[in-house]
Amino acid sequence: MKITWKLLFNLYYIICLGGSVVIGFGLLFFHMLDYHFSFQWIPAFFALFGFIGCTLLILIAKGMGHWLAQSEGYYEKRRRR
Amino acid sequence: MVDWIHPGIVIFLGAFLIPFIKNRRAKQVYFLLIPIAGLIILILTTAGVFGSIPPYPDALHKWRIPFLRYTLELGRIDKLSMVFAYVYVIAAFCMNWFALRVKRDWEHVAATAYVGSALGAVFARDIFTLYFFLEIMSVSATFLVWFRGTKESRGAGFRYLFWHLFSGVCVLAGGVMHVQTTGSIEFVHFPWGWGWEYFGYYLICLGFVINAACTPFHSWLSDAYSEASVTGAIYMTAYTTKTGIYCLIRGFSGVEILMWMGAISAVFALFMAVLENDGRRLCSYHIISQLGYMVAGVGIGTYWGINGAASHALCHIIYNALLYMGASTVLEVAGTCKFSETGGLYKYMPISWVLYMVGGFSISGFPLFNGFVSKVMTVEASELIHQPLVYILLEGATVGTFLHTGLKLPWNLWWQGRKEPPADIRAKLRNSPINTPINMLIGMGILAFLCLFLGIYPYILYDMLPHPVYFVPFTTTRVFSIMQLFLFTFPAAWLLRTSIRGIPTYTVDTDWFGRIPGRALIVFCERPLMAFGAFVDQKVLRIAASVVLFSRNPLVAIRIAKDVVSTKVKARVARSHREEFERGLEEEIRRYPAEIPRLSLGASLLIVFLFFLLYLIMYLIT
Repeated sequence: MKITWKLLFNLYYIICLGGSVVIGFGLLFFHMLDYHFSFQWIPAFFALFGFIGCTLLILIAKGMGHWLAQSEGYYEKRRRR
Repeated sequence: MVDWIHPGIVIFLGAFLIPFIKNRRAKQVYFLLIPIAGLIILILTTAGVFGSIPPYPDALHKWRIPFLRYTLELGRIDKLSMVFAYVYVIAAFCMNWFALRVKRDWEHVAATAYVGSALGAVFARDIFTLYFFLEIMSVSATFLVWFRGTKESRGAGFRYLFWHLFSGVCVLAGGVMHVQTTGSIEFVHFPWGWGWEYFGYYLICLGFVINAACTPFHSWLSDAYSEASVTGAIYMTAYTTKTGIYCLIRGFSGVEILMWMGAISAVFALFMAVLENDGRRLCSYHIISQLGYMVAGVGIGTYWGINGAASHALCHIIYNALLYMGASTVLEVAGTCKFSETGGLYKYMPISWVLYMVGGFSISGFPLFNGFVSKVMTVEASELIHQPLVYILLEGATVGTFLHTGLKLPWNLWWQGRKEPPADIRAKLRNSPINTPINMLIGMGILAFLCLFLGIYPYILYDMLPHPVYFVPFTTTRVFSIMQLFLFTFPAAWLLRTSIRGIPTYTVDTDWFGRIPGRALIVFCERPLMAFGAFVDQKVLRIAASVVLFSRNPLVAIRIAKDVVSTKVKARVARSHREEFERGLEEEIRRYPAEIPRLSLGASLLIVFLFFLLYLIMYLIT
């Protein structure tokens, strides 16, 4: 397999993702984290929150776009009508 | 001791000298020196040259001016007003660098007067002075929109002016009610509750909420800022909304509804930003979202909340100006900042891209950037008062902020997988990595430095805050949590990358209610309401004309009225003489008012006496 910058970056990023989850478990295990709400103690909560939050944000917004996204110059066209 | 010099008045008056300086270089130097003069005054104020500033909420009182029965006070100097004043002049200096090459003198005048009046508003102690400066801000900012010179900017300017005149009227009306109730014109922390007795305070709060662009009163911001002149929009990002936040902190901290409005606003704006195709409109939605954090902090109202709102306002002015400058450099150089028309600019504008990314990381809240050190304070305030939903909304807004400003906007403007920008934009670019004007890069560079400086050493910011604070932002929990959040946001965005590409559409916002159904109101006013008005007008005029006619000779008029009735009766009884009766009546009407009878002195006195008697009876009865 040809080693490219893209491949190296992907590998690096996957290591970062996995590493952050492993470090998160370690920090939880050694009681090095301090949270206020019970749901924050769910392992990898912020990883899930980031991934699911971003996905939901885009998908819900796209759903809203069916009504809200209009052609450019929308008000101008409505005024002429 | 030297009396205080008002930095706002110095800057405001200084603005009007700009057109009189003929030499271009001298004009540019003077333009840069104006905010420096304000900064020197503020440094001297902090140093105690004009008297020491007592701990918040006490203040140093200067510039008291008697006005009618009241005393206006233009100089309430306390820690809260100083936080805002410092960032206003520092940001103005950077913005002046950015706008240095603009040749329209009056655009400089409008921008500088806008900065000066914003300083006037934060130092005002009474409602009338505050109202006065808010109105000047509205008018000067409207000119900044109009200086774009397009048809769209004319409309957007009028809509901006309408919103802000309305908010000003709300503040004034509420202020007058406050004065009626309390007898005081002082702008203090207002009472809050539910009931008609608080109606005046609801109006003032509404005025401030409109200024702070809180959902659902936010649409003016994305509308006007994206249509403003390239450099004028940069000024607008900082002053109007942050003055609104300042006023809310001062007048309505701890009002719970603001906490919810702020948290919803922080998230709602991000949904709108996903659909956005225009770089400046996208940044506008991020202003609204970040203002949501501040309004939520104000609503939380604890020391953490207020400090969080004030510190976030300060940091936000710096990084958001930087973000807006980044998008504006593309508009300036490429002539558009629409995602569907750009891309591949990274080779031709790499410095503005890198500087923009500093702003992008700051607004997202990356550790070691200034957004992090202020945002965690507000988010922590929601944790400390045990509001998990507010916490979720604010933390969720962090995800969306990173998605748009850290990924969507830079990817669409500078990259999009293209090695070269579209041909029409390429034709405008030189074969050089520096296509952005140097003065713009200097303004952005200073702001980027401030983003990093405050992010690495936030204690200089914390020392300025109104309430004393001991806060260490870089804890393991906070840094780890936020980094994990960002690390996992990126893959989600990458998987859905086709959904965040620019599509040439216009996103309809809450202003639709005013602009489409609102037109029906105008049509209703123009047609049925005006027709009804004309009908009433015609009837009233006829009645008035009859009264005038009657008063020319009341005795004869009564007799004619009596004859009209008797003629009709006689005409029915004796039909053969009908024409004769009617001719007699016509003759009588023709001769009206005939000879006006002259009353003798005695009769006149009798009438006067009767009137006096009538007054006496009315007086005795009432």
